[in-house]
Amino acid sequence: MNARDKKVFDDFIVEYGDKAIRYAYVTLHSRPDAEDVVQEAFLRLWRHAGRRGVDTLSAGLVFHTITNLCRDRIRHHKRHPEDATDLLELTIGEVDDTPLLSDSREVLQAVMQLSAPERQCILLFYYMDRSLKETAAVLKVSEQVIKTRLYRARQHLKPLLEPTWKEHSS
Amino acid sequence: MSFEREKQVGQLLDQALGEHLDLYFQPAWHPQHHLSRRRARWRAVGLGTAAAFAVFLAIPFFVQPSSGHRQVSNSTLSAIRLPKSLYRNVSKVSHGSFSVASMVPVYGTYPMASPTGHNLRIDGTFQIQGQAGGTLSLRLNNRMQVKGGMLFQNGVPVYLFSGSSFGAGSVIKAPKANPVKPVGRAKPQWYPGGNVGIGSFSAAGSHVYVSHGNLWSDVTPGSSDVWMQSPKSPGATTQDSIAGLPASPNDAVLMEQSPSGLSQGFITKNGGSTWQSWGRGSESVSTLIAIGNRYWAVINGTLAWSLNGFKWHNILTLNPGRWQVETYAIDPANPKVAAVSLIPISGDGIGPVLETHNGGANWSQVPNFPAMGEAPSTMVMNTQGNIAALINANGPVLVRYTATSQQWSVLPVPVTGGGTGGLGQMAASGNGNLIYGAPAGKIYQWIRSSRQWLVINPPPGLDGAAVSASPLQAIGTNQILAGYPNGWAYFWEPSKEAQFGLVQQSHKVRLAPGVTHVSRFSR
Repeated sequence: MNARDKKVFDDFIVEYGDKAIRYAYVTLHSRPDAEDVVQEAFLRLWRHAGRRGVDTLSAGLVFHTITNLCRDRIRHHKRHPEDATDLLELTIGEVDDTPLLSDSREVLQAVMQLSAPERQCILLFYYMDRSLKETAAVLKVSEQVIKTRLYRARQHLKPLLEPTWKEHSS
Repeated sequence: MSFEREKQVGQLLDQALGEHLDLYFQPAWHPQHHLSRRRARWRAVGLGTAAAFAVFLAIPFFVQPSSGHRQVSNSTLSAIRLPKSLYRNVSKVSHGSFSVASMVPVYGTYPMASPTGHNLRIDGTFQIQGQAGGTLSLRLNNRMQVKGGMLFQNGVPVYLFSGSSFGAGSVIKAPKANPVKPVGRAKPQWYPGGNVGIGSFSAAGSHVYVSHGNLWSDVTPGSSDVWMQSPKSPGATTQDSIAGLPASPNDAVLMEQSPSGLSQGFITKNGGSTWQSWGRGSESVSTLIAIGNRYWAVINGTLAWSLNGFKWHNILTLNPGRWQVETYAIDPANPKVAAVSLIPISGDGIGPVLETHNGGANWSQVPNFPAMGEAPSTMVMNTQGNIAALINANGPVLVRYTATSQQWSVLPVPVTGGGTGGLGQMAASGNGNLIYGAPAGKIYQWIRSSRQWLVINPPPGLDGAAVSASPLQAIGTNQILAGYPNGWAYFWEPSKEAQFGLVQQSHKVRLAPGVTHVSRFSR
């Protein structure tokens, strides 16, 4: 990889690095696992760029890679329950201990209560600003599935967020 | 959720995850750093592997193989080389050359079947603390360090030590034995049983069940007795063993053992008039006895009991690929208390001794069992939970376990005079006195109350073989049954509590064809 390619790759990391770790964290509910996944994902992207050129890198590729790695990690924890930490409790504990603004804390807590596929949809769609099509491509499902998941995620979030937001509005 | 709020979800998540959870991509995670670290690790592993391989290739240039490895034809495969430190220690107590006679593994922990040490037997001429001996039996740990031992002279233990120091032990003095004394006008004497060697013997009430080859008999006093073939009419090579239930003397179990080692069981409820198959087919059965209202036997390698002979209950769950029961002991007053001696399934080695106090629900290891080259061949237990075991190592050794102190100790036995090694036999009478059948044929009684040995010479006419009495069993508290190769007899000894037992009553014995009657004799 020449100097120009390295520069392009560095810019790519600056643009998507933070989002990647946050996406992995929300998907896995575990900071150590998220950090492992992101490092592994960018290592694979580095090799991919070395083989096919840095121009082939894209946001979809980043999140697609991370999604696959997260899926592998979740499957591993399911098959080896003795290795799995109580991810949800861990996350909620972290959130509770963090002095967040009221709104952002409640949003994160609410999102964390969703199922993993719904969390991924919410994050990709709302936070990463991916389109339905791009989200579907990342998660390897149809757009219809993404729509359904987003619908259900909103339905689940509604009772969790609506009361608080009403209070803030009033 | 309103549309305006919905639009804020992304922004709020960014705020929560970034600013407040501090989730940022770290520069150290850059793949370039990661790859350089990984390359460094691989370089280190490669260098280490290459260095190890180089050392492995260079070993033949620096290490000379031992003479045993170079000259295979000059030494047998079974030759055991002692470590230098052990060789030096043995040399200090040896006069002249010595050789390793055997080394067997000791499995000191259950259920783990991995050796915790070895028992080493060395033949030579040894002198320790003034005691001369021809065989040294050493207990070693897995590092071949000495943890104790015993010196034998002509099969008789003469010196015992524990720990690594050969000199820090004690001399085993052979005690004297006195003859059994008459009480008033009653004299101790032998009564004849028959002129054939018997395989098993069981006294149940007024019945005395005996077996000989493939024949069995009930030598009930006052009745005409005949030798009868066991129920299945087996071949001459079949060996029967029989046990009558003391609580119900008409009940008995007969095991027919074929030359393959498998046995079939038969049960009678009427003193042998009719027999029923036990319904289990052919199984491996050994050490069949009856105590109280239960039959006991080692069935398929583990200890089992039965109330009727049909349904057997295993009380020790063993891994059949690792362990088997060698012998066992039952508390005569409480069938829930038992002890078993285990050996590895290969038969090569000594296993631990286990005991239970709740009918087999829990087993615990009897601590500090002195492994002396062989597992116990016979064990007995008294009502206090104390165990006595006979170990036929280089000669018979009697060891006792005291439950209160949780210690094993050697019970010195009188010198038999004439026997050099050989196998011994052991039994216990109803009052807890031990009965020891010495290799030359004499029988010794250990009287617990007076802590002394009494000697009983073998019955006239049966003492020619100069072998230990087998089977050897006590009947009640004052009678002993002893079998010899050419006959068997009862010994009756007078005591203050003595009841004239079955052998005092006259009975006619009708013998099988070819078997001649033996006239009554006295000591």
